[in-house]
Amino acid sequence: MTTKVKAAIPPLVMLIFGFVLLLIIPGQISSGGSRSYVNPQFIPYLMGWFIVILSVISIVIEFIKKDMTSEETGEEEKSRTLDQKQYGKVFAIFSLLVLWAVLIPYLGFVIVTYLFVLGVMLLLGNRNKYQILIVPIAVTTVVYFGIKVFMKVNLPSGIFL
Amino acid sequence: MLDNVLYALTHVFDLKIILFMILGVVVGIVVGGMPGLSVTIAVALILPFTFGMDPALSILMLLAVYCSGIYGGSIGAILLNTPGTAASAATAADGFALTQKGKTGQALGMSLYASVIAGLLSGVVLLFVAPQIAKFALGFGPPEYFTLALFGLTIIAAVSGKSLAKGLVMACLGILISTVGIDPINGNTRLTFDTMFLMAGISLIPALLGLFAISEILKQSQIGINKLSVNGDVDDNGFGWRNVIPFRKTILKSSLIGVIIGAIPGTGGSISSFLAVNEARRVSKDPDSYGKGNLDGVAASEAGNNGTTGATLIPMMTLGIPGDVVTAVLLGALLIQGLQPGPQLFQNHGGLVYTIMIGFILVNIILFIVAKLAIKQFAKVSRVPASILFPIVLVCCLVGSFAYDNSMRSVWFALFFGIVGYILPKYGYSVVPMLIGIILGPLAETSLRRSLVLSNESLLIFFQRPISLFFIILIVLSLVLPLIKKFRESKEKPDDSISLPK
Repeated sequence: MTTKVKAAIPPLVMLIFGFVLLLIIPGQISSGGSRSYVNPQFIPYLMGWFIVILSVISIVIEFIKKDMTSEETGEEEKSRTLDQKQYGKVFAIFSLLVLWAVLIPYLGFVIVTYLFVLGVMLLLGNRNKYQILIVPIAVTTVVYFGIKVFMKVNLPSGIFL
Repeated sequence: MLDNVLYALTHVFDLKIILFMILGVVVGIVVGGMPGLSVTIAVALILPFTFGMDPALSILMLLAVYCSGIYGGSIGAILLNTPGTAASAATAADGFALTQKGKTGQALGMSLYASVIAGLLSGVVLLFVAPQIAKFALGFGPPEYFTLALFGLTIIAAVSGKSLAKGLVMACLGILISTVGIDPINGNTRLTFDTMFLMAGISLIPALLGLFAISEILKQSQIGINKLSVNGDVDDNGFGWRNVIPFRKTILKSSLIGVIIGAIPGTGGSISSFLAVNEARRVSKDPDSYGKGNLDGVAASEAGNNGTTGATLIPMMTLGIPGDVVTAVLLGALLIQGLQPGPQLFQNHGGLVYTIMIGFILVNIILFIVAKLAIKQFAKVSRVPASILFPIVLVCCLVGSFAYDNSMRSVWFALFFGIVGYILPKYGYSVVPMLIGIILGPLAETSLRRSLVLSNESLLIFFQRPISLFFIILIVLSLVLPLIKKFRESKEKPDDSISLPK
């Protein structure tokens, strides 16, 4: 696939999103029985059309843009290789975030947050025994007491604390 | 006005307010000073915990985080050559060169004095200019508000990154997101997919935490900044006012540059700091020394970026349009407190507005005292490894999203926006326009629909009213002028006058 075609894929996805939006608006938003064009559908329709038009413009721009220099392409390739190496870490951290939200109603804030902080620290490469032991407990304790007790802000809870 | 000033003076020296301002200053310096964490993240992280507070206390704590966060950015720039915030990028060149020469203390001292002087000047301008603009804006009706919101949206041109078209797509998505839930005029449900989950709409705070904080941590984890080390003695060796006097002209001029730039929506600290350094270099007898450890460069950059802090609040408080990303967050904070920024804010909550403006000046004094006393400790903060820092920030994001409405629904939104903020910028879609769209969308929509109802659906209403027409002219100018500038630049040889030698 050429660089230009690759660059045109994201605006193409936006273009498809725009069309899907325009298709679902009548089913999702009632016009409120109004004959006027100034009704609840007005802004969503307007945004949908803008997304379509601007995405087409983006695609055209990608195709008429001058070719990148070989030096720039080389740099991009290098950073892409680095990116690919680290995608696993990003995916793992995001999975931990999702797990935090999923497990909270069952295990409660304290246990899940402790495990979450510990997991992220390990994923980010921290192997210092003392830090691994102290930081998750300290963070959980400070957030729990600082926010719930001191600031009186509710925290998510589960079966346990 | 005098009543309000007196009310503010009695209110702002409340012990509780001062304590929370000190806390805000500490948080701002710590987060702003950490490489990779911006002042926007600092303000966004604190925001959810201020909901239950009194409005003045909440806004002043956030302002403390804002001002000190901008200053804190210079710590990372000077010690590590890694600016904590974009606004301190210009400080890094001279600041880090001074560190390499063993003059870290001088650089940090100058950064603090210049920041505080500029912040105070900016606060005074805010105090005297904002009420006048608010008075003028009292006569605004729906057409004026619509064109004003549209003018606010034009800052998207400045924050879109490389592609304006992609920035506008993100703004459209932001406005679209703001329409989810109950229609503000007819009460119909919109884009809820018949679920209760979306019925209450998509709130600003989870979106903000996801788009700026969670996504940033994901990005930083990918880059892997883990091993940072600090060299140099952090002791300021008695740096004081006498050391600042030789640089007074630079500090004053740079502060004014900051104030003027800050008052223009769509600009901000990073632009003004580079302009200030550029100006200092232009008038200097030794321009070649800039970027190689000239204390004047640090003074110019820090006065330039802190000069914007109070000035950016002028369009935000008087007209309800955010000057930059941080003020967009602060605008959201006012909305969450049930306060609609704009001229009515001055009319209905005069005491509160003056408390905020006078509190802003006090924040800068507190910043000076706190930073002066604990600069050594703050400098150590930038040495905290990412593997400790990032999980803490992520926990704050999760808890902050939950605290917004005490529901896991907001946490899911934050996670969704976190992944959006991580993926879309990789393909040239900046997330800042999306945030601007989410904030200004409701104002633009309701005022547009009300205007069209008033005018029997005629668009002429926007051209018949002088203020509305004035904003339309401003909109056209702010869109056309950058295009002309870009066209000229593409014809001429690239000019490097703004960039500093590395």
